[in-house]
Amino acid sequence: MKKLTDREIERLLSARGTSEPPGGLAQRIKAEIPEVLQVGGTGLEPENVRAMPARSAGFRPLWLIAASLLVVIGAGFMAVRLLGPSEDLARQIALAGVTVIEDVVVTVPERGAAEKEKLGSAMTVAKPATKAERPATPSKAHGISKNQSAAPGKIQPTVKGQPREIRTVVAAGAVKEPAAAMPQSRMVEEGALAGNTAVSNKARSVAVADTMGQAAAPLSAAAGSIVVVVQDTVRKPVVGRCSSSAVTGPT
Amino acid sequence: MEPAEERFLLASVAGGDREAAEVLVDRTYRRVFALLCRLAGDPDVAADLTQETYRRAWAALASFDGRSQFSTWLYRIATNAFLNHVRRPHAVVPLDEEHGSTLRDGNPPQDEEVIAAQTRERLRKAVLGLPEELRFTVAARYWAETPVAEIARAEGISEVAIRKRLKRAYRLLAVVLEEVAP
Repeated sequence: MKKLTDREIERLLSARGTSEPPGGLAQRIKAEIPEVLQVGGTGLEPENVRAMPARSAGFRPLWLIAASLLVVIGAGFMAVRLLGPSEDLARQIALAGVTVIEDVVVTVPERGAAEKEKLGSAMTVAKPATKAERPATPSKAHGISKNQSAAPGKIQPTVKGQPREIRTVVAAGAVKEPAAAMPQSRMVEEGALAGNTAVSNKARSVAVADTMGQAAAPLSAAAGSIVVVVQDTVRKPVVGRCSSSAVTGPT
Repeated sequence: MEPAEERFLLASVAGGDREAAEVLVDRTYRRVFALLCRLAGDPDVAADLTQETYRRAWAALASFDGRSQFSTWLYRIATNAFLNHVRRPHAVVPLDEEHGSTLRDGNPPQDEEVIAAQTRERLRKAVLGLPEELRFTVAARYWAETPVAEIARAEGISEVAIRKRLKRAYRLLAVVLEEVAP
């Protein structure tokens, strides 16, 4: 046989050679039709059935949409929580614009007994609850003016920083063993208090207090060190950290 | 049978109308028988398989999704019924034996009729030897006279894919028919 082409194959397949179905075949098939027939598929139901929508026809899509929205919102919340700004980034933001001086040496000049009493009494009222409760002239409690506040204590950068003219001294500290370096009374005088943030009330500017607190927060977590926050001549916060042994003063 | 008429009849069957089911049988059973006759090569076997086809169709009517026409769905059932019949151990339709049932008893066969019968038989065997998807496509297209578009709907593929199947089937059939040629 020669090679058959597609057209010849098609012609062979199309050739009719089928006999007629035997008589009675249709009746035999009809006799086997079940009494009850269930028809599946969409659009095959009777017209009267199609005209009546199911009671839950509109409920299920609404429920699915609500559930989908909840899932999306939950996923977004989790993504923000997991991928949001980290604690390190928050610290970097808090320290933006703040000069940090490592290993500063704090020298505390000797004070007279009368001055110590004044400072001690001032520190007892160092944390007024309201502005009205604050001492009317906090600088007078220490017997020094704002501009003179640099005189009692000096901060000397030992490694990198340059000496600065200091206008205001605000010390916030966390010292585990403050007694090793200096007497507790002196620490109290200078506002460095173990375990909590003690703020020398003298010449404190309410406007810059929060900024300094934020600046000191990242450093105050280091136990066994004293964090010193000062404001330089242009009111820019300067943060210093020194070990308790670096605090020098008259014993 | 027009799709609209078929849909109407099926809707009536779903509503419990038995006469609609009988009309469906009247509209479809001839082509189902013709397909099975070409597949089996024996009218008696084809008649039995036609009954078996409808039996299966009624039982599976709930799973008919309406994607294709009811008749095309029947052709698929008929093809499967035939294949099951052939695979049975007691099948009486040997694929290798030439059947004389296509020749009329009592009349001396004419040469042309004999040649035509032999050709049909070779073609039938060649079609049965095709892969499953090609076999159904060829049988539905030529032996049940189903349009290509309708086969595509039933198979869930494009018309182009069906035509490619047919081209591939032609090439395979040509090779087989050349091999069995004397």
